[in-house]
Amino acid sequence: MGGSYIADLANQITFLVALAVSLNLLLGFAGQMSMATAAFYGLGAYTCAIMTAQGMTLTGAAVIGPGWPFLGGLASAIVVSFVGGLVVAAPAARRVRGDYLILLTLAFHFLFVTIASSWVGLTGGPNGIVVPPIGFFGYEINTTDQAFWFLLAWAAFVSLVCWWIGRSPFGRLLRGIREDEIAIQALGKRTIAPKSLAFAMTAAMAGATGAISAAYMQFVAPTTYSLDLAILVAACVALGGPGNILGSVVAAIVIGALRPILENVPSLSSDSAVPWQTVIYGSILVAGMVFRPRGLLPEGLIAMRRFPREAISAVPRVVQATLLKTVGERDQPALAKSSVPSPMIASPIVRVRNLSKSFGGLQAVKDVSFDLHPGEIVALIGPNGAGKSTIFNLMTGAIRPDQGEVTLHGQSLAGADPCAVARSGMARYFQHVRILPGLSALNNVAIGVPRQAGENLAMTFLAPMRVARGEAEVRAEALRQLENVGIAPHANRTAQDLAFGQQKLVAFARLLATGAQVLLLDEPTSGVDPQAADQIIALVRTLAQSGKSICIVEHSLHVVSELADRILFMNAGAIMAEGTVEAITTRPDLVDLYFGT
Amino acid sequence: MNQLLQLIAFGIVQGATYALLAASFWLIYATTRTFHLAHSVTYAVAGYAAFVISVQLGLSLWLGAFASVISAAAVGCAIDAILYRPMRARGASVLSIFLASLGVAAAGAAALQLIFGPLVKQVPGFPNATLYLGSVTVTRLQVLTAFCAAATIFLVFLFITRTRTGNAITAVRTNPTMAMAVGIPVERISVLVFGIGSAMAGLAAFFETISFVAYPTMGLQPVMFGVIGVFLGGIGSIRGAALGGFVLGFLLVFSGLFLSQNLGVILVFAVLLVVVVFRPEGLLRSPSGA
Repeated sequence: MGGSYIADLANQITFLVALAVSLNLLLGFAGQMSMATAAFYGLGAYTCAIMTAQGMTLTGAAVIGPGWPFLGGLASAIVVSFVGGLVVAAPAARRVRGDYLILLTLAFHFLFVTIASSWVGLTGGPNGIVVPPIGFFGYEINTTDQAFWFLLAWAAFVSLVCWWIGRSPFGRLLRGIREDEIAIQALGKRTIAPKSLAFAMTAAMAGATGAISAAYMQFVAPTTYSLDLAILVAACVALGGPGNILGSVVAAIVIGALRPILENVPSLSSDSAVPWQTVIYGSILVAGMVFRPRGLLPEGLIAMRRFPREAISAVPRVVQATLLKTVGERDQPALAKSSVPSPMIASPIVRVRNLSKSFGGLQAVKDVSFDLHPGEIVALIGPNGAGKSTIFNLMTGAIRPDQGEVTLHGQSLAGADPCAVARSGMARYFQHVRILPGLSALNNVAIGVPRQAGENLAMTFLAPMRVARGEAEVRAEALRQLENVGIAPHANRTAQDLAFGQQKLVAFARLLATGAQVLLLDEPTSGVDPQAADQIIALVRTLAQSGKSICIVEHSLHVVSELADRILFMNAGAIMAEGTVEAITTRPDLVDLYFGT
Repeated sequence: MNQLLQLIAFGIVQGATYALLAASFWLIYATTRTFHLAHSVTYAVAGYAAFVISVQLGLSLWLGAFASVISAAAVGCAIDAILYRPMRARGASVLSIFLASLGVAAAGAAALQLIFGPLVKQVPGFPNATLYLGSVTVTRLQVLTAFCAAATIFLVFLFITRTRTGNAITAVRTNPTMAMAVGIPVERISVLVFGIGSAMAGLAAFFETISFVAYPTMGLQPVMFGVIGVFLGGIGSIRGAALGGFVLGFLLVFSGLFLSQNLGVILVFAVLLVVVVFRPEGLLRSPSGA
């Protein structure tokens, strides 16, 4: 190919940029590692090469070659690498631990290289295949200078797509999965599909870039698609800043420029330029991970949208007075405040019937039955190991009961996973909070809002206006819930920078954002100062008055006596007594059991 | 029948090598939760150490083997002590430790290429001979490789299950926080498993170098097979990892009977997918055993 040397260098860098930003979507946003970047880049390149080939290798041997035009080859490359991505990611996406994805992508890389270098009839083997040049509708790109503007546009397009996905609600969901997948499932969000989709999108963009690079170089051979390339791209993402698209662009340009610079150092032979480049970026990667693990441009520096400061400072610090009104209006539009039914008259929302569960020889829960009514606060108390948290695990589907069942609104929850349980209106507040540390308080709460149009990736592109309107509503709702718990002034702060008590309140706001009718609270006041505890107590009481059913596991008898309409006293997996606060606290046998005197 | 026996013999030889690699990766991965891809650099350094001692310095092959094992252990310990330990102390995520490991893997192989050049290095001189055991033909080197691999795995197995230090390793593997709470020096255990695991890889690298050649990226494929072996056999125990390595070896050898060698790689990938989907704990489930 003719054209200037400088243009060729720039073109090689555009490929690196496109690969880096697409990997950032997976590695930075979704927090999943892929070692198959080079393999998908190569898969796209070979698909395009085979579909556009004229049926002859460089050495003249016959290969398969339907002779499609370039755009046909590009389209087939996108489809094949997208599907290939789904196939590789699907088994790993079900696992919470990311090691399976590293394993499968690494295996896929070796599989790809083996096939590319040995299936001579299809790929031309080690000699590769000649590829026709890039061309559209009769116009052909034959020099590096002509190609530059097209390749620059492609890299810019891929960067924009990744940036757009990253800032969409779908991108927020990916970041939530990265921070704590179990917490996201407990909010009623599916995690397998978004993870697989992120992987397939990354694979498709790498494949398309591969197809374009193959047509640009007019040649494919297996040595181009080495594991070193996969590491190089990962280094660009890690050093630029995972979760920051601009960072990947900058890092890819800088690292991509290393090789041509080294090639022109007079004391180096051109053979040693490539290993020197590898030594340098490998060392920078190591140093970067040790000294600056969040990269050159950390996430949130530029890419994250900031909520306008004025809007936040306008919110009064404590909104206790309006709390009841806002919560009540939203969740129970049909019920006036005064007409909330007395708990004992209304029919129960949740029925727990004969639940039993053993772990090995230990009977953790024995034949437990109880009801939760609308507007009622029921406290589960008992000594440590009585089975309280196990009951929550059984009710939310985190573990399966040996016997018995739970019904919600009259429907059985048998076989439902935590995500399905949360979707049907029963949400859980974790003892260990499970905040999403890397996200802002506002995004922590926004992610709890159910049924967001923008969490559908296709909608993000096909109906951007609708998604933008929905997102404005989601953010308004999230801010309202932060106001409810009284920490709206901290809406923009990263959750990990908040005090523990504030994190608990953020988690509370997130729970409220789900709109769940039944709330299971696991030690909501443990580990917070008395002031925050009082705030949480007031909040829980207000929620019950608005008609929600609340089941609370709590060690603090102060909290229990402040809140509970009814107490279930548990010991050794069974309910020993049930009654009002007075009835329980005046029974000497239970008090002895509880305090172990 | 004769062909079957011959294939079984090759399967054992191949499987023992993969089992050794799987066990070495397992020891490091399971104990420290480090996806230690830089194991490939350790492996390549061991191969070149044999070349330096036995060819460049002209010393005996025994010293070369010794140099392989010692240099591998030193490299593994150094990577853990200089790189991973400060990162763990700073609370680095598993992903950033993996990325640092990738950096070492890339830079290390390239550095070896700069030092020794891109050409492969041979270490000749093993008094090899072909042995005829009934209808089975193997080389003396193959028998020695398989024997050393199996013996090493067995010794490490005994070490983990029968000694006090081995119990400490198991404790760190199953619950590092609790292990630290009862006074086990977790960081020292970590360096120890890096040392032992790397020495095991060094032994495998020595045999590969004297059987074939040493080259800068020689460690990638063996580590890859080791990783696959671990996940295939089971991440819960060294027996699982070793079993996975043997299964891998037999799969590759036996698929050669019906398929071309490259289709064997596809078969391995297919088996791996099936195992990850239907038995994510691996073929050998053992939640608490060693």
